[in-house]
Formats: sequence, structure tokens, C-alpha cells
Amino acid sequence: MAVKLTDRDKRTLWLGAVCSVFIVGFVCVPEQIGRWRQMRSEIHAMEETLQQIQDPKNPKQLFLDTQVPVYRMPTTADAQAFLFRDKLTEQIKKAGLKEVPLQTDFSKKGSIGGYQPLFLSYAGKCSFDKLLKLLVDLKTNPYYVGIEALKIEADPKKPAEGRKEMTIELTLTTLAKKTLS
Amino acid sequence: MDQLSELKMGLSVTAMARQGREIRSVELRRRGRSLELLRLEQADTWFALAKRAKVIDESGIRIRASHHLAVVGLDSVGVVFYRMTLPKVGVQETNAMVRMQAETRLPLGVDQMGLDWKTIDSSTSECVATVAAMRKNSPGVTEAVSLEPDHAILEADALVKMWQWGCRQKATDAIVMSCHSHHTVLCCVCDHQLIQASVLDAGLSDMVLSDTVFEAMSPLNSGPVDQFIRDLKGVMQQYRENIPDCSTVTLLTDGSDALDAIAQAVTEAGLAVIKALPDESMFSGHSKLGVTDLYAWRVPIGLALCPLAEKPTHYELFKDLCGKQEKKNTSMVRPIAACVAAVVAVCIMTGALYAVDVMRHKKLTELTSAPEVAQFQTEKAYQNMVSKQRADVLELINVVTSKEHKGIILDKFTYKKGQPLKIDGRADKPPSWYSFDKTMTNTKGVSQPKRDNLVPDEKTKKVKFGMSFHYKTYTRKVTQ
Repeated sequence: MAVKLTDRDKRTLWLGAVCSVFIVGFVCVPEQIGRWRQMRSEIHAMEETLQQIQDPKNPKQLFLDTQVPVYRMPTTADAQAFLFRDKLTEQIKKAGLKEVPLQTDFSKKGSIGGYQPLFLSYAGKCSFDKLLKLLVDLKTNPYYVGIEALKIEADPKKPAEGRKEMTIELTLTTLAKKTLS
Repeated sequence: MDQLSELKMGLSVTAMARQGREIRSVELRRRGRSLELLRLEQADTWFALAKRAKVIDESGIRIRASHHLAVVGLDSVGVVFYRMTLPKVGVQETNAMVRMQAETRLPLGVDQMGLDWKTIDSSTSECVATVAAMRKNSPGVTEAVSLEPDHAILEADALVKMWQWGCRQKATDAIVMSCHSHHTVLCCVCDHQLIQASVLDAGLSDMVLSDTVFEAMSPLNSGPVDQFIRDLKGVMQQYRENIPDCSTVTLLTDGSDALDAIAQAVTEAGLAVIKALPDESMFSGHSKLGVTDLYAWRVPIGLALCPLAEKPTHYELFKDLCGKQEKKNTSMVRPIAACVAAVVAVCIMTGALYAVDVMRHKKLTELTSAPEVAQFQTEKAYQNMVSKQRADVLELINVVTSKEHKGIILDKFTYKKGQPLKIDGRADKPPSWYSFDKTMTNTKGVSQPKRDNLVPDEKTKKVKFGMSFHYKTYTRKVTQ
């Protein structure tokens, strides 16, 4: 037997339906909005990455390319030390500095960006111009990361005009892949 | 100036009016410099005519279209006009005063009457209001209003508009006369505004002998004509209160012998008569109508012209009864429908945006998860990290060995990452040192400067100094 709904029944049903929609909305919508927001931020990050690949000449990248014009991804400590020493020796020679054995220090303490720092030290005598030439040339070394220390000392007994050579101690950093020890 | 420029463009009006036994309708619109007659219909009943004129559909439901209005005409019989002198105040206050005064004059209560008013004359402090009133539940009104028209307009207003625009008359004041078959309507026009209308019992059928209507000589029935002339003079006497120097009657005519004979009779009675014929050149449309046809359809044409006017001057006695059904429909259904439509539109838009984002996310994830992209990201992160480790030591050397520092000899330069830069040297004399110290301290980027005590060197006659300071972020562990 079919039941005939009165206007009051219909109103109640309508109200119930509307309330149900609101309740479901209040429960689900904020969660969905949170997910959507997260998704949009991920989209933004991914688009930025792709933008960098497609357009490498953005201002930030140009600045980075000025600061670090060449670089090679780090390899194992021994190989990295060899490669860095080899290239640095070449640069020292090119700058006109006296070739002396480079001291290598495998630091096990610190960590830079998840990589193991290696230090190469040069100690010797050279003119100020040659030192500057070497410092300028360092940026072209793909294994060079930074200058850890630089000490320049001139003989205080000699007058400024007579200082053809000064003692320098230069410590440079490179980075190597961390090994499990 | 073109008179039609005072009429609205882009609006069409279907007007229906009773003329004798028939009811006639016309659809009219302004087209450039002419009035376009789109549809002419006639029928015996309002309902049948409304169907033919497409005002209602077959089931009797009112058809509404944008830029289209439906107008019905109200017979002049039963319309009363009053004149009131009122202080010059705002529209609302005037309306209240008119209603208050009308209550004392009307034979029925205000709620049983339809009334409208116009101010026609005003001085600095007073204005004269003309009030037109008509009983609401009279058969003619009920029948016409049942069609749910947009406007219900007086036949007298229609005749005045026909005289002004259909006959191209430019006079501001006039007494317009229109002879119908059993009555004659007289309209008193002052400053283009209908201020009073009267109905004389004698019409064309009463005054013109039926078998001599189209004969040239003596077509009139002398008895009714004499009565008509007496009534006309009486009415004109009343009108002189409004237009004192008006002794001329403007007769709307199609140039027929019968109307010419009436004009002749009125002239012989000592009143001047101006004949106003419809101007054919004003009208265009599917069927080109002659003067006789235009005259025959003068009331519906005049009715259609009323709402077309840019500044309407006609009386609307039954505003509350017109367009009632539309209001009822729009009052409930449309807002709900609009709200539902808006909610649905928002939901669809949100869903579409979400779907687009999901697809973009999926596509970008596929693209960026490629090994080349991951390698690229690692390399760029490494480059970024290296740039932060790379202090510009050349810039540091340049700062301390600048040629600005006169009289200063540097002996020692010690840079170690994470520690302040140390310099030792000699100055020719203390002022050179002070100058060097001041310059270094004020150099942009130099911070936390510390000095050792000055030590005079007896052998070289110079002053030994030592100094340490931080420079930008170069002396920090990580540069920026």
C-alpha cells in the first residue's frame, strides 16, 4: 500500500536531507581541502623544478653559475683526493707557484651537506701576484669547494718595496662521498 | 527635432482595446524614424484576442518575453478626474496628500478604486495635481486585467498619444475629440498631459443617419446633433477653467464624410475645429495601412505608444493589478532557483578545478620522477651547497689591501673559516692607523672589529698594530 506523504513529512525529509548534506560537508570538506592544498604545493614545487630545467637562465641560477661555474659530483674519498690534488697541482704550476707536496687531511669528524670534507694544504713561498692568480683560477677546478684557511705572511724586517716573496699557507676543501665505517 | 526620438527603441508593445463591439490589438515598435506595425488582430472577446496576439498561450498562461510589453485599454466611461492644489513637497508626501484628499471626494473607498495622479502645473510653492480614478471591480477592468497585462491605460491617454505622435501634432494644449459609434470622447490636454476626459453619450451612429452616411449632403440627424453640440459646449465650458483661451476642438478623423459633417456642424455652432488625420508616413510594417485603417486602430496604436515614451505621462490606475502573476512567480521560485543554480555552478567549478589539479599532479609526478630529473635536482642541490661554502677570499684581500689605506704596510693576513679575519701590520704614524681603523670600521660588511694595543717600533720608527673583524658572512661557517 502506497503511503501518501503530507506536506509536513515532505518538509521533514527535505530538512533531513539538507542537514545530512551539511554534516557530511563539515566532516569531509576540511580534510579534502587540506589534501588539495598539499597537492597544490607539490604541484608548485614540481613546476618550479621543471621550470629550472626548461629555463636555466633564471636569476638565481645565473648567480649560482657565477659562484660555481664548474663542478663534479663527489666520488669516494681516495678518488676525490686524487682528482682534486691532480687538478690543483696543475693549477699551482700554471700560476707559477713552486711545486711542493700537498698535504691531504681526511677529516672524519664533520659533514657538509651529507658529504665528507677533505682538506688539501699547500705551504710555500710565492709572490702576491702569483697567489692572486691561483685564487682566481681555483673556480675552474671542478673538485674545489672552498678555502678553509689562508695565511699570508711577509717578512716584517724587509721594507714593503723589497718583499718579492711571502710565505703562504693555503688549505682548500673538497667533498667526498661518505663511506660506511 | 524628430518627435519619435522621445520613444524608446528596442521595445515592442502589444496593445489591446475595445472599439465598439470588437476588441482590437496591435503590436508596435519604433524602428528608426517610423513606427512599425508588426501585428494587427481583432476578436470578439479579450481572451480570444489575447491568444491571437500571442499574449497568452493556448492553455491561457501569460506569455512573457524580454523587451515586450502587453497593454490593455480601459474605457473612458467611469473614469473621473479631480484637480487639487497642493503645497510643493516630495513625491511620497504628495502621494499621501492626494490619497487623503481623494478619499473625501471619491464615491467609494480608496482601496476599492484605482487612482493615479500627475502634477501638471507648479509654482514655487504650490503644484496642481490631476487625479484620475476608476472603480476596481467594474466588469471592463476585471476582464482586461485578468489577462495579466503589464499596463492598463486609459483610452483617453491613448487618444492623446495618437494625436501627438500618430497625427504629428505639436500643440501643447488642446481639446481632442474622438467620435466612436455610440459615444464621443473629449480629452483636455494641457502641456502635453491629459488633465481631464469626458464622454458624451452621442456617437457616430447616433448622429449620422445610417442610409446617408456616405452621401455628401445633410447626413446628420439634427436632434442628436443639437444635443451633442449642447453637451460639447457644456464640457468645453468646464475645460476653460484649465485652458482659459481654448475654444478650438481638435477632431481625430480619417477624412470621411460623416466626420466632416460633424466637424461642419460643430463649426456652425460657433466652435473652431481642427481636423487631425493619422500620418501614414509615420508608420511602416508588414501591411501598409491607409489613413482609414490607422484611424480605425487609433486606440490600440495610441495605447502602444504610451509605454514606448521615454518619459511616460499616462495614468496607471491599476499598477497593483498589473504584472501580479509575474511578481508571484518571481517572489518565491526565482530566488530559490537562482541559489540552487549558483550552488551547483560553484560545485561544478570546484570539482573541475580539483580534477584539473589531480591530473596536473599525476602528470608532473610522472615527469619529475624520471631519473634525469632526480639527477638534475641532486646536482643543483650540490651546486647550491658548494656556493654556500665558497667565500670570496679575493674580495677580502681586496678590502684590506685597498690603495685608500695610505701609510699602512700589512705583514700578516690570517683567514680561517668560522673565525674572524686577523691582520697585522705597521703604520707610518698613529694618524695613518686611525685613518685605516676608521675606514675599515666603516666599510660595509665589516662587523665586530677588535684592535690590539698599538706598539711603537723603535728601530723602524713605526707603529705596530693588530686587528680582527668579521666580514659579511665570509668568516662564518656557511656563507650566504
